[in-house]
Amino acid sequence: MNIGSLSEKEFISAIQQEGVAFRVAGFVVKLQTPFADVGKCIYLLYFDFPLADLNSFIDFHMEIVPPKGVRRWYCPQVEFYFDGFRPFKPLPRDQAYAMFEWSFNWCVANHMHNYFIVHAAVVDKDDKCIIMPAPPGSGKSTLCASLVMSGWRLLSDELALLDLQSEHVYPIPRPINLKNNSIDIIRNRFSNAVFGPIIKDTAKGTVSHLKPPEGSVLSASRVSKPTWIIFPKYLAGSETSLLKRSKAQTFMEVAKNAFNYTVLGRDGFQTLVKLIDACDCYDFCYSNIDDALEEFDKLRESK
Amino acid sequence: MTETWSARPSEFYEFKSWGSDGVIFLCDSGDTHLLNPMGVQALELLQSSSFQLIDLVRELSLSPALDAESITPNSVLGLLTELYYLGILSKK
Repeated sequence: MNIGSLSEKEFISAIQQEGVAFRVAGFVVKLQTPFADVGKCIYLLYFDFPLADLNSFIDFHMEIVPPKGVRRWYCPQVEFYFDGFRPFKPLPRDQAYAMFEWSFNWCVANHMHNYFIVHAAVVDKDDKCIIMPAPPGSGKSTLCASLVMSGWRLLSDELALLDLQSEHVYPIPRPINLKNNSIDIIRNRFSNAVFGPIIKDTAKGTVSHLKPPEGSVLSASRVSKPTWIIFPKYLAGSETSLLKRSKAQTFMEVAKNAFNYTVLGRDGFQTLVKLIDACDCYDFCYSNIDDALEEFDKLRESK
Repeated sequence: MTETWSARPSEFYEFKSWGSDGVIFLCDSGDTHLLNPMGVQALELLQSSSFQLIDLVRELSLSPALDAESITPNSVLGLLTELYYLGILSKK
């Protein structure tokens, strides 16, 4: 039974009362919030995700709630609680849904140390995946969204989860967080793209979340073999270029983008060595999405 | 100048090279360092045997992967000293 098997009204009512538990790939999340608009966003964007039993093991107990005191009404704010603990300062009320998504990232990155976790988008075809680590502003999410809307499977837009033993990547397909101009680029290009609300004036600019394709959600239990590591860079007016890069330098850059490389110590080093051994490593520069998609298809056909 | 240099046992570090470049993880500090081609070649030699500086310079000069002109006693000594202070090498 998935979230969409409830009516929107039933779902919102449940999330406002005892909360709703749902499965996101290997994790079970329980969310409780009095905010109907947050419930509405979750219903829209997590429509295809399986519901979980509230009495089952829950990995992350989350609450998105109004603060106590005057900021409940005056310049209203919103707070996030994880297992009853508030890790962040409040955000403006209209950023409640974005806070849920960012906090979800934080929960996974800070607690799931049975994985090697890299800040990266991951897309897959034929169970071979491309890991794309990149800093904000590099065009990673725009490229990821374009690939996913063009038939690639979404494993994640933010978190590459590598199994420490098998070195497979575990999918965690969630809504893709698009920022500023990227929102219109994807909206104009893909008429079937489903977006959550536009959220303005966040620390990351204007953001909106793209619903993950149903196929990616339904195949979230299928692991993928890391095959390429690509550092994307959007550069206006540039020619599309895909250039091999040094494996040792790639190692250092991926370690820098990993959330728990230092936490894992020697295991982290060994996992990353195996990942780098298994992958071809590239720098990718693009300005035209058609060319970028073509280049990625060529790459896929080469293996 | 008559000191003999060698790599410490591998329990102190993890080393991996890909062709000319490499990385090394130091177990005590948890730090990771990028090694340039000379560092990789030197460490690979020192893992297999002990060397005096002058012998190591000669060995490194024979490597086709390195620019022979950049391999001077001073540059190699600088590298060895750095690796020594990182806890990768020992000297007698």
